[in-house]
Amino acid sequence: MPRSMTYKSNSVIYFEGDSSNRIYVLKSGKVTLTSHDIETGQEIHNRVETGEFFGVKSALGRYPQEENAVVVSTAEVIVFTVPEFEEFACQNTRVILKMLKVFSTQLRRIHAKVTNMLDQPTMVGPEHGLFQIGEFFHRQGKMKQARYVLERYLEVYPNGPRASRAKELLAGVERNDYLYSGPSHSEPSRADGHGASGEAERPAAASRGEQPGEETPAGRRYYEAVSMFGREEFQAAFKTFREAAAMEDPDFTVPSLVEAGRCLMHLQRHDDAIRHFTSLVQRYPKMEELPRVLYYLGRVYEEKGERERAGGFFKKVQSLASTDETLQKQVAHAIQNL
Amino acid sequence: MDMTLPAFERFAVHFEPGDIIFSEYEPGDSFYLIQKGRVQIMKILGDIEKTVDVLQPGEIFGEMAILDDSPRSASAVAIDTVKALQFNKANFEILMKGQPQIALKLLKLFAKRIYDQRRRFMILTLSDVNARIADVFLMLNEMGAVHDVDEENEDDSRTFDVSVDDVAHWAGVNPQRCREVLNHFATQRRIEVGKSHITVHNINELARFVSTRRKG
Repeated sequence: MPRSMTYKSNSVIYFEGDSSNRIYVLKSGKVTLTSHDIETGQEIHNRVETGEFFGVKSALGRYPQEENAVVVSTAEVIVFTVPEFEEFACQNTRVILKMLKVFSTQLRRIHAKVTNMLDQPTMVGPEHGLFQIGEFFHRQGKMKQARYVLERYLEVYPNGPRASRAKELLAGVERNDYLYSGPSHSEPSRADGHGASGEAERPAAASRGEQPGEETPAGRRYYEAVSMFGREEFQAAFKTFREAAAMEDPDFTVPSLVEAGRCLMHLQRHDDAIRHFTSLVQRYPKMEELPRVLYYLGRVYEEKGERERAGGFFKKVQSLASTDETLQKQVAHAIQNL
Repeated sequence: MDMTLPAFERFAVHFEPGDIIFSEYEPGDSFYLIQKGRVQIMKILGDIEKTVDVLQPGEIFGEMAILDDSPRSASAVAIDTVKALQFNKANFEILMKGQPQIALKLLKLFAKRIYDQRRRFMILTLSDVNARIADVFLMLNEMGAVHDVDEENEDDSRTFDVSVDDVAHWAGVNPQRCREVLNHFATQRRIEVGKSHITVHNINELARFVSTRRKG
């Protein structure tokens, strides 16, 4: 049975780091939860409302308390063990629903923070991302999976920028399905040759019914280089991005040059990266990627140990109206770490 | 938990081995509870398929999408013939009333995920790569991911079933850099790197090292 407890003013119900197997509801009085923001380290105070549960996440997730629960004025609290809470919640499903909403929001938030910190090699939107997954399975000869993803793509984005390409790939799947329906056709030798030479891709692709002429050569080069980057073959990726840029396809020139610069960063060629990005900014001062390029410049200077210059670039990025929310967060974090 | 109730049969979905249950980036509004067979959760990074997890009957997946329509963050593929119960916003109310234990299970999963992600974020906020990698072992230790407890081992020694790539993934550094750092730790006799496991000789020493590198 849940029991009622009375805590005097200034007492502590639990401390951060305490092991937790109790869940509390505030019946009367005042309780404050004190924690630290994981990004800034700042102290955060949250008042518990009357009737509100607290200590739930730690108890259900079986991890230590993440805050101090301090009694501000004499408080009456109902204390549940986890099995008692579970029994109560199953009778009062609204409580579960409300908590699910709160937890799901928190999970989304922290998930986004982690993703931002990881600085993924290709930050693509869902439309482009879904297409790339379909393309990946197609390249691997996994036609069953390719068909599912490409059909989903066309269902969700019937007029998407890659819809016609998705239809072409899908038509190829239909034509060649019998050839690539099993794992024995996953062409391991092709996968091996893929990183060493981009040229190895073409005959294989053509034999699967793709029509290379219908995809822009620069686009093809660009995505090959993105794959190399993903495999951390930065030297090969740099060369291939440069080749893609040289094809002067308006859709791929600037993105290829930006990514080529990132390869130089990963190769620790700091001075080359600075020269590369600086000339990029001079040549394309109005490019969409400007905030991101300035951020990369800051990062290179930071790695060189030139903190002041790095800070200058980061502040510039912060001041640009075209800097998106994700980049704003990355920059704020970079400044904090300087 | 009895999942064979006829009331829940109408939520059952079936997949053949190799079928995609959902794809990364696909919009989704439902989550699944596995009743039969195994499900691979995977992500595609560049040209590589990375298995994030292999789930067994009784486990839930796709839960991130339940309360909003955000794109899926990974793909789910049937390994065996899979039977799962599929729930979405529309039938969630029925689930809540009929089987609140499933909703409770979901709530616990969220609580654990929030903690894991927060812990991972704490690793990534360390600017020193050595400290990040050391902190991965502290996290694994906190999660209880210790290989086995060897009575003859000293109290501070821990063996983890992880590869260099796993550590690199958690630390958010590239595998090559991660290997360099681990080799450096090995020459300092702090750790020992095996084929499929890594032994930390003194977990408390590693904890002290990380805390000196953590700001604020």
